[in-house]
Amino acid sequence: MRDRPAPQPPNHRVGVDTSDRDDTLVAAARDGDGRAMEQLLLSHRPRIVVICRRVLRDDADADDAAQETLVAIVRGIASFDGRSSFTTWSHRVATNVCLDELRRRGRRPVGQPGEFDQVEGGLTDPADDALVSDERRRLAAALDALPDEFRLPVVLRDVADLDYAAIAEELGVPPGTIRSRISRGRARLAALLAQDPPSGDPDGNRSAATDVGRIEPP
Amino acid sequence: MTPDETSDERDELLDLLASLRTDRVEPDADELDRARELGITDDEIHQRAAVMTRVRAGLGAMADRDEEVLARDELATRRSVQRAVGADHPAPTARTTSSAARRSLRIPSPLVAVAAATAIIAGVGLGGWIVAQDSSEQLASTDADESVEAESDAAPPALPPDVPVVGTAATPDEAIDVAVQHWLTTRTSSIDDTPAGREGFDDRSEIGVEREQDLAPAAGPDADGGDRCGAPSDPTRVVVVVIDDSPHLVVDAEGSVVVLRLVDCREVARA
Repeated sequence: MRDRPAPQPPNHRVGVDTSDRDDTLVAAARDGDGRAMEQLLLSHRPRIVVICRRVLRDDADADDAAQETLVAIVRGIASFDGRSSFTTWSHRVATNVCLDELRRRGRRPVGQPGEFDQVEGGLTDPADDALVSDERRRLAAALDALPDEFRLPVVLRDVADLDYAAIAEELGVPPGTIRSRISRGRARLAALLAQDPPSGDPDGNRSAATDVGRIEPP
Repeated sequence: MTPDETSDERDELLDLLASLRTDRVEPDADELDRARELGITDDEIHQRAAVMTRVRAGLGAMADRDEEVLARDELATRRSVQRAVGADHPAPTARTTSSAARRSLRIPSPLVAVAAATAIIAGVGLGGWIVAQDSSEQLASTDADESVEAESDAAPPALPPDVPVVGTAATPDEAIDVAVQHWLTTRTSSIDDTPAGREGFDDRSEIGVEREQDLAPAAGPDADGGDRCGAPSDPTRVVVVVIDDSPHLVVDAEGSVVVLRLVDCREVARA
């Protein structure tokens, strides 16, 4: 059986290599350079917030978790051994904080899933046109509709960009289970999106999210 | 195994192989053997991998867009980072500004101070203001009367150089906004749960209205026996202190003191 490479996702910014710059800043931060630490956090905080929001599905909790993550990074930078990239390490810190928060959730009420995708002033970008906003909402809604056992591995893989071994370790399940859950989660996402295709774009423009919406069920 | 079960297994294995190919992860030998047994072809895997890749691309694009929107709010990002760096402090109350953490650790709400401290941060410039956070004993607790007495009797202490900076502002009014916004983003859940918190402070504009009302000329003598002044034209000090569930402002204008909802604070002076 030949092993053809699959088409790679376009514009996936977590794949952008900032490791050289990060390495320099990490080294300086570990030596006590506060400005270097600030620069590190400034560049990484937005993605950390995104991860927290996708995992927790509650704006306030996610912002708290992101803040807690930044504090944990500041305190833990001395123990960062550089075996993984700083990006991966920081995303794992965020994941740990979020999973702790999920474990605490049984004791108090939480917001509606995906509320930050619809609330004015949240992540809805005024620069987006209506079609793009609708696509993002549909994709977010489909993601939120997944059971946690599939949603969390997909988010950690496709949003946090963690590898299978790291996801398995974070979630405390065998790597084989993670592989299966990611594949089933993606398949369910494709099926969910295919059930409710967006209205047609009169100009024929298609974004990545539009393409997802037009996927035929497997 | 029934035909349906075999079909389900084939479909799941096809999804798995496609998903692994999307992530450039090698399947196990067992999985490849079973795929051959079930007649799964490479073309099928490739087609299904294209579907998986588009799902991954959609999620990635969504996350990228969200990240861009968040990154555009530079002020919020900078404040959050400064709080995190400032929170690296040995005092228990400075462990985190996260309300979730405070909920679990029972950490008191932070005190938030606004001070005219032009010398502290380079780049703010003469007349600029900083908003600084202190959750330790650097801002000691006193009651309202004691605070006013302290203002009239003794020079207030300077803002300690190691107080974490929350943000900067060009005017005292902006500084108050920064402090209040900081409070809004770091408040505890108990604040959200109080009727006063929901009705009076959930919305920033409502805080602004309340502040303007409080700054209007007030009855009664100030610490020096004169009338309390209204909104100061050129305040030398503004202190916003968060006690339990609401911000408390102290405005000092040319020797006159306006105490707004003051319960527990100590002045922070020009550095």
